[in-house]
Amino acid sequence: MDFALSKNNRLFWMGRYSERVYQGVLAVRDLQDQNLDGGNVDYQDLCRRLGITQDFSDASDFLNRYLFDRSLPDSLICAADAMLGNGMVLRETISSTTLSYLQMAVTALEIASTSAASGVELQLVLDDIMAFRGSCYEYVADEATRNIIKCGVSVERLSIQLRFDEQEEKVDKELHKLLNRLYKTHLSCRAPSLDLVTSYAFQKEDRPDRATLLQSVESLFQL
Amino acid sequence: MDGLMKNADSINRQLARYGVKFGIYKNGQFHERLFPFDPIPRVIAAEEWATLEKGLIQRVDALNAFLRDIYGKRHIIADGVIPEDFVYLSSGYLPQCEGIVPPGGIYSHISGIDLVKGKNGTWYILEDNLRVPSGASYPLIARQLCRRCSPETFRQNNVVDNRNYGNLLRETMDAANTGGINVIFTPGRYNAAYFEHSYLAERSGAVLAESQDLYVKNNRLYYRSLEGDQQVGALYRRISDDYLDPLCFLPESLIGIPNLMAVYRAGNVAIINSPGNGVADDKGIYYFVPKMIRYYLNQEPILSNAPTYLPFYEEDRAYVLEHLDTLVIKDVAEAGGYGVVFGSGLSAEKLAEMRRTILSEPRRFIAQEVVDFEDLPLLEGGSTVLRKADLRAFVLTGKETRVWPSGLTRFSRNPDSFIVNSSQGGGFKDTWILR
Repeated sequence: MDFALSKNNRLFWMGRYSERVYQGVLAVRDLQDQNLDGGNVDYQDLCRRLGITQDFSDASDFLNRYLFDRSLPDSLICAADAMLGNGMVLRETISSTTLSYLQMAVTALEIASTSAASGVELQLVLDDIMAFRGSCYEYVADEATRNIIKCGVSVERLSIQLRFDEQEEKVDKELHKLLNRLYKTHLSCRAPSLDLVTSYAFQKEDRPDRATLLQSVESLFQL
Repeated sequence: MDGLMKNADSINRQLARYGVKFGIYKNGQFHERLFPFDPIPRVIAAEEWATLEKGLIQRVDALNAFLRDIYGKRHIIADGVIPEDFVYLSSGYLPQCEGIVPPGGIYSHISGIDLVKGKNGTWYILEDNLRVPSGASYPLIARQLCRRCSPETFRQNNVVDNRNYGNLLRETMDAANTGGINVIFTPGRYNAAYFEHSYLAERSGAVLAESQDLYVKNNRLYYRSLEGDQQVGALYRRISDDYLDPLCFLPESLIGIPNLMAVYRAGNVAIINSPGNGVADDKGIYYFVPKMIRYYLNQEPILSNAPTYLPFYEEDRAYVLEHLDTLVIKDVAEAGGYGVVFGSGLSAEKLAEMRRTILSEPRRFIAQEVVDFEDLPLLEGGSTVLRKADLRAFVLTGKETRVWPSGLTRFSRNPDSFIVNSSQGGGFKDTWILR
């Protein structure tokens, strides 16, 4: 492996932001659909779970700003910018080809912001992120490097699953994926967090509570 | 060219896809934007290029000889060819570099030489850039994307392939390397040319690093790596001299590497390009380059300078003051198209003010005849218009001096302007060399 420590941080966060955008777009697209028929979208609950403190006038306002508002730090477009920003400083590690998929995802999100049928462009965001991951597999030769990106993806996915009280099986599956990847990265972990995550993954009874698990997942890596 | 013009939109989409951007700071804020590209290339015939190539190699070899001399025994001053004022008062002259001989004796490894073609068909050198010349990445990636969008154009035209720049750069770094890895040292993500830094790192196989990734220990430069730190043998720095080493130059620099100059002085790393090169690409020293060619190489210059006057000399000063309204005045301390004033555009009051400034600070300016340089066609709103354009040729010196068979053609988008710099709204074209 041939990169400086700060690059680990960028690889990790590039993976993490890519998952934030991916899961966020999937969720918002479903919520937009619900909202079409006047469905009751509990956006305040979403904000609480995501730690978003801003006020929104209604569900439509929330969905629109959460997707496209660059002045809202928690918005998906800000996450997409951060994903691309991390990728840009990793060009020689991930290749221009891989980076281009991140650029296309951001462009698709920008186009979606002006589209009357944003769902079509949002699909392209998802496609581009998937292509980015495939391209990482193809172009990033170093296994540890690939696994740092994947660890970022896993941590973000777990964070979302735990915040949204996802089923136990899904959390277990992702925890095991994370632990498998972690040992292939050479990254340093915080011992108490690693102990808790490991014990949660391997014991079925007397598990720590989910809030503690979330805290440990978030603080697992020393980057 | 029809194929390229028809596919202009798809080429631009490809350029956007690959993030071909440059940054500018406006009102203290960083803005990044796509570098405007025009699909109609500048075309240079093989015979014309052969002359340019010889002239460029000659010029860069003389400039390297000058740098070796000026940071060494300074024969050119002792022999009265160049007045010492033009060396020691130049902001690019660094006393910290006196006596240092870089690996291989090469100071300018990557030289960006700006030329224009006059309407009379003569090429003129406008400026030498020997510090951190940028721009090669843009025609490099543009060629790749144009070939993808309009393959037929390249089947029909016999164009010299320019996609070897990454290899040329690598060979140049390898030739200077003192033992260790090749690193491209960037000030970071918010540098105007960050795209170029990252793209050249990818193309040359060098590691891209920022200051926090590099450190000095036991008089050697190291790159922090997770699997053990690696010694750096060649550092292609994309950061100006002032910020390179806070212990040697500007102490407030947060983007430099403390003690780097000590490592360089000990011969334990090659810095590409060498610090202190600014003394040779100063606008004031430009006047003397033909004299350098005669002095060091004992040859007649193959390429011409634009007719230039130095107000420092009494005779030139008198001419400049008399003809100020027809000349272009350049402040030697400025770059990037700034500090360039066309006398024809000044009011009587401003001309008088400029005359007073020249009289009080004659060393600060050069004056040039306005070269009526060739207009090149570019695509605008579906039709072609003519605009001023220059050419930055890239000359690489490693084991030998070679010219990259391409270059960055920059054009003004303003019909009334001669200023082609990207920082001032200019765009770029590919440069074709025909076989």
